[in-house]
Amino acid sequence: MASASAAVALEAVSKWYDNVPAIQDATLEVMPGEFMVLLGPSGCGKTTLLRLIAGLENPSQGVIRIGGRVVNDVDPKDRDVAMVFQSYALYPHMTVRRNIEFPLRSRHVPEQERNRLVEEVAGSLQLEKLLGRKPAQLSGGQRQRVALARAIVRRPLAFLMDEPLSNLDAQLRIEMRAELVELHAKLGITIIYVTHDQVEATTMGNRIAVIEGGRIQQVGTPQDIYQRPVNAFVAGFVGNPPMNIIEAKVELSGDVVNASFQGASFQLPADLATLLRKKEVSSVLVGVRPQDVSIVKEDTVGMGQLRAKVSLVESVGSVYRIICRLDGGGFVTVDAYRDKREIRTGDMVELSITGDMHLFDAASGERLEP
Amino acid sequence: MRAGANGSLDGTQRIGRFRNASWLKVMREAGLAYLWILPALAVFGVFVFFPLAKAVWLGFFKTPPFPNLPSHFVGVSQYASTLSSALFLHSLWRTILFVIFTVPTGIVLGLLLATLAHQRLAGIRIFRTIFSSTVATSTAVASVIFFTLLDPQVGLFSYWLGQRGGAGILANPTLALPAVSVVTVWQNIGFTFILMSAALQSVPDDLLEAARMDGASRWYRFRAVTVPLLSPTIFFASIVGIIGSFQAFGQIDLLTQGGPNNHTLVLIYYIYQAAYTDNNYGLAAVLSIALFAILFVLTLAQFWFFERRVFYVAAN
Repeated sequence: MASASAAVALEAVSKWYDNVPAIQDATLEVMPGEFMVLLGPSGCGKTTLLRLIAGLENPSQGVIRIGGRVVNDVDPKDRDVAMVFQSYALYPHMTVRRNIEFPLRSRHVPEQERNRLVEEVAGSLQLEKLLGRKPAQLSGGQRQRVALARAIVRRPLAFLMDEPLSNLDAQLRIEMRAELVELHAKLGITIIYVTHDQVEATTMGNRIAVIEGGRIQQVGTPQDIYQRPVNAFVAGFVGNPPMNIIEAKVELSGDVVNASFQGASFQLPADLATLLRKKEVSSVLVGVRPQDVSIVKEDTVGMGQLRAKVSLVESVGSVYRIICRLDGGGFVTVDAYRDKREIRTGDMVELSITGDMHLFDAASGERLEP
Repeated sequence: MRAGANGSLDGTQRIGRFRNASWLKVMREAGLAYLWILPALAVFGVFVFFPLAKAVWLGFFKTPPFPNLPSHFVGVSQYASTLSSALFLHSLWRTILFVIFTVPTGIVLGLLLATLAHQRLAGIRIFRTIFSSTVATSTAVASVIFFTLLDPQVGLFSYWLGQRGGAGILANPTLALPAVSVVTVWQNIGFTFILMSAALQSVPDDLLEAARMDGASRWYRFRAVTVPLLSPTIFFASIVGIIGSFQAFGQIDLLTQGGPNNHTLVLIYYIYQAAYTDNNYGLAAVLSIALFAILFVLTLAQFWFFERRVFYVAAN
């Protein structure tokens, strides 16, 4: 089923804890040298998925392959994967050198070889001067690098990283993000990276697997996922600020298909209209990215207008983010507003959709696409 | 603070007044602190420091061989003669042997049981309860149980060890001290087990998982990760254990009374005999001070040693 060339492959993997499903029917292939991000909100099962690959948990069903070999019954130490923990899990009583060489000592690598490998990794991560220190004497970023060094020194087939940057402050996180991407490119390593932070996911990942409720919702490049989310969850989860999603009734009148909700109504593009006719969908979720909504006075695109009241104006650098409450209920975010006309909380405005519209079936949440 | 806020004062005046105020403040705080520790100090003074000083003083007097005769001052000579006597050195050696038999064995067994019970298994609580149950057993009860087990006629241990009949294990000069040690280890194991179990709970799971991913075998994980992280507890258990063994009295009094032929005459029992069998309070005082000095030095030495070897997890 899975292609033999995948570095890590999951085939219909499920995991239950006392009849509570944590992972359901997960199928995923990670190619050699790929930076795969498992993205999802907390409690979605992404860490469980990573631990299943690591061998720290056993799957209830399905097959896990690493380097083409079925590893379901293989001990973590023999799976040829290294893990970087959220807490870094550095051995507090050992020096940086002893921490980095721990995997080598465990595998009885001769001392000379050990020293050579440690020096090499320490050099590439700028840790040479810290080798004699204990973890307590290091900053967060340094600890992070030691944890990475400990994983790299073994030259494993794949790296598993569980939210490795979440304990760092914002500035350092951005730096470490760049460092990780650079390291990935330099060493050509396979990384499976768990995060709940979509900025990390979209900036670092070659591909992203979006996970929710123990199921993999969508796997694709960051562009794929952003531009063509397969369902309403992915649409709402990926993107900052999140996509505006409004539930609307489908109204057919002659050749025109309108989406309407509580008094407001706008015409849908022709190709979407055809699809809705064909599928006989009566209720849809209309998704629009905040940057695809404009504040207008007049109907500029001929799709009808939405009347709304400004409930919050946020300053984001040189532009404004405006959150409006629709007349018919629900909120719409307008991003990157840079008009000269000043807008204040409480103002009545008219909104117009100026960019792409995403349509999802209101019942199933699945994407509707021509 | 008020001086600093007062705009009409010039710099020097301000500093001068500030210094004065802070000195007063320090004094007031120190006075208050001493007041707070006064009750504790009083209790320690009456029940610890005074008896200690009194014991040192008693050691300077030779107790007469018959009651009702006045004891007379002999200075440090009683200390010198007692501490160099063959019986004292013999007793000290038996005490050291007793500590060696009981403390390391107790810690190793306690750690072993705690490790065995540190699993997610159905019914493991039953084992935890059994392993810690000796805490609730008094020395007297433990001694009576073992007295029966070691009995030359009906004792199970005597039967297993091929020591049936005769005077029995407790009357055997070679086996008496080990036998008393076994009772002591057994009785202390519950406490050590609880200590070690609690310490094992505090070893972070992700450290052990990291070690597992790093390829460490079960034994290497235990040796290189778990034990170093338990070292503060092991240190604590060893100090408490050594002090406890130096002061072990009940089991010796109930099982051997220091015999056979003084082979279980540990220091504390020697003191007891001097004071209450021989009514030689001078000698007992000297021995008590010696025991105190030994424990004091030992504790200092342990702190010195473990400061270098014990790892305390820094609070993040």
